[in-house]
Amino acid sequence: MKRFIISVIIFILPLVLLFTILEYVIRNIPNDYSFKKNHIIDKGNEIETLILGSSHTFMGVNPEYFQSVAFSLANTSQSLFYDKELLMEYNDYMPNLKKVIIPISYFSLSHKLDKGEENGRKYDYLHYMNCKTKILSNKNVKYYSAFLAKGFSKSSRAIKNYVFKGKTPISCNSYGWCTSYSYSKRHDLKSTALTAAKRHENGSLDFSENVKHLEEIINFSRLHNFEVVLINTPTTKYYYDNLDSQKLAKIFKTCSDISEINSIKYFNFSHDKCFTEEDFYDGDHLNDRGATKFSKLLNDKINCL
Amino acid sequence: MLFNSIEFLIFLPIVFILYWFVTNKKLKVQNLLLLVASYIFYGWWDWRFLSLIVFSSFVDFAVGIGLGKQENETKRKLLLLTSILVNLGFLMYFKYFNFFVDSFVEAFSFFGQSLSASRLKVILPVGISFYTFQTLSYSIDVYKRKLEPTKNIVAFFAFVSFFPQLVAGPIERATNLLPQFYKKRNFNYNKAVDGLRQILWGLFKKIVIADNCATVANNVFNNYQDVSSITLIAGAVFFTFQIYGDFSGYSDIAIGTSRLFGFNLMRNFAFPYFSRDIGEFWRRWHISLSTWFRDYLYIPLGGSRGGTWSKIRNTFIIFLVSGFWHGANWTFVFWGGLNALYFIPLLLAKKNRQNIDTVAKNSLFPSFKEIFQIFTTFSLTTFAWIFFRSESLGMAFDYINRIIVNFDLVIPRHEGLAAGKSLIVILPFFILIEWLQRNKEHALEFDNIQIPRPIRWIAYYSIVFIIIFFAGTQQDFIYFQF
Repeated sequence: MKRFIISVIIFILPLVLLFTILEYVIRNIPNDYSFKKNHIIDKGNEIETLILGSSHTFMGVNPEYFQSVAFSLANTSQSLFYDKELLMEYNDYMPNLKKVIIPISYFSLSHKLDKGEENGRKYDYLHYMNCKTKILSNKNVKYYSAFLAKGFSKSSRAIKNYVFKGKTPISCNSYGWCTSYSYSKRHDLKSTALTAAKRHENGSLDFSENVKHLEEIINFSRLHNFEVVLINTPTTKYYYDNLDSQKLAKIFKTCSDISEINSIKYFNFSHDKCFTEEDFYDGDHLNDRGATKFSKLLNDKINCL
Repeated sequence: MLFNSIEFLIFLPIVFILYWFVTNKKLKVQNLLLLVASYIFYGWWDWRFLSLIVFSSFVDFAVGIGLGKQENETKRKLLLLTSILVNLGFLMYFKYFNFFVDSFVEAFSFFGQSLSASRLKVILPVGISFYTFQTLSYSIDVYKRKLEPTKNIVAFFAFVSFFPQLVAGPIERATNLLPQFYKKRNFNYNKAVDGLRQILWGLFKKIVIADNCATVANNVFNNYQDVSSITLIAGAVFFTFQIYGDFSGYSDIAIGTSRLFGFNLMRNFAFPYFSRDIGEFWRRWHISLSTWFRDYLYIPLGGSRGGTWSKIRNTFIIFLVSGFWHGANWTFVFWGGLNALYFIPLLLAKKNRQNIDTVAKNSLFPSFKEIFQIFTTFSLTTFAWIFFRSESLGMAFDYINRIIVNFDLVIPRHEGLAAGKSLIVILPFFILIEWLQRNKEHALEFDNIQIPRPIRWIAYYSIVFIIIFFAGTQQDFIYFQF
């Protein structure tokens, strides 16, 4: 038994050392989260318009085309809960903030925080963006390790790219807009729309939790004198055709009601005829051309009223 | 708790240390520790379903005691029937109730009658098909007087819930596993080291082979209407490796973990994709289930003793039931039926046991005939897996139809296949290692004397590095749903 235990310990020691090195490396690889946090801390006082939300705005709204100084704090799969957390966390760094743009996607109102949420993403919000709510329990070992939270596959890919190719996973420019969804790399719209529609459907019509987050954002904005603008971003008809029309109608009605009750602006671009198939990267995301078009349009809309 | 999780990485050493250092003096306490550990392991997923295991264990324990005391054959039959009804009743309720309801509704609607039936909103308890079969084997063996009923309740409960094989097998026989709980287990260095090697290989199969293949297979099967025929074939082949890596990987980890605790579980996979015919494939694939059905269904039905029709009937029954055991869907039944169709010509020609030995036993390379046989068997198996993987029979037929109708020899191009780039190197490496080790119990079984420690350790570290750097996106074990 002694021999066995000693052999196992000798075998494991180099692995523990390797794990420690990998953990150190992965924690120090710059990513979209750390980049955006640093930008807000350094240049937050310049920001007048803040864009929140998921990949639909991360890729679809380019702050460069805004009349005011704008920055995108949107990120992939970012829910209203995180929008609220980030706004409250970084508000003090943005004394000139006048407008906050919040997209309501098909999944935004029915999203459940713990269902299907990746631990790696929770780790990013906790450790890189200083999210205050303990979305990962400190009894969970993944709370303490980026490598474990993100999983072997993602972590090792990120380390390989960083160490051997010098590539970071940062996908946004200095405005916080995701630059990797270019027209030239676009995917088949029909198949990706179907996959996205399936992925975004959780079968829930219970919006209460997310409406509460949204109302908290609106109340917070009222208290700090900035304006909230709700939007539905453009997507392809293939995407909409595969969504539950009843749920979709309820989403639009909820947005209208919230806008009316709270006297805030609401623009629904989901079926906007301005956007053709050429403007999309995949079934539900705009490409760089589409993002330019949409950003200009959105800028005009929020400023002309 | 998943074998490929951090929780298990912490759980296993704790149980191991308590088992060999704290409770090793008393067998009863050691068994009690295994029982508690097994319940924690299972309860980690959903503690509410522990009550099912406890109830099922209690019924079979009581039935066993009753069978031991009872001499009256009618009463003995009644006792056995109680065990069968309770165990299969649970299985029917949790796994098949909605399937039967839906099938009845569909059947009536086919004849123009519309029925409305309410479905149950129940979750399928993980591993229910495995542990119910394990406890049933106890009651049947005691009934047949092949096994003395146990009075040791802790040992029996630990046998039913033994954590390494609780949720996905191997489905152990009471005659093999239960007596191991009666005897004092002594730590055996070589056995424990071999157990660790088998765990390592199981993790490699699951994390690298199965999880990477799953990403590709899922992408193809989820978008099968939009991809080329070659991509569809590639998707089916990747699923073939996924299910093997997933299930045999789990079995390797289960068997290896048991060895750390001084237990010997039965072998569940014996390099099945090197089989030369379907008969051989089924002697090498999910051995614990195949032999369970052979011993408790096929032989009681008459086996291959009767005439031609009785052989065909019995073969169909065993394959259809085996398919149905996998899941409440006609796709599994069809998959079972298809395998029966593959098997029956061999059975009728009395060639189902012609390939008993390992392929190319005394040579490094197989003959051309063997290559052809292996390729044919692999292709037939892959074809059958399409039904197993599809969500409905309609989807499976459509999938196959698209392979045939749109057949062209273009290089597969689909974004989903990109996820499998690393598999181009890893899969051949995996097949090569398995081929070289095909005479062994598992692919990492080494003779410590023949291979010096530095070389062995380099091999282990290489596998660990491959696991870390080529891990696929974590997926649930496929067989958990069964």
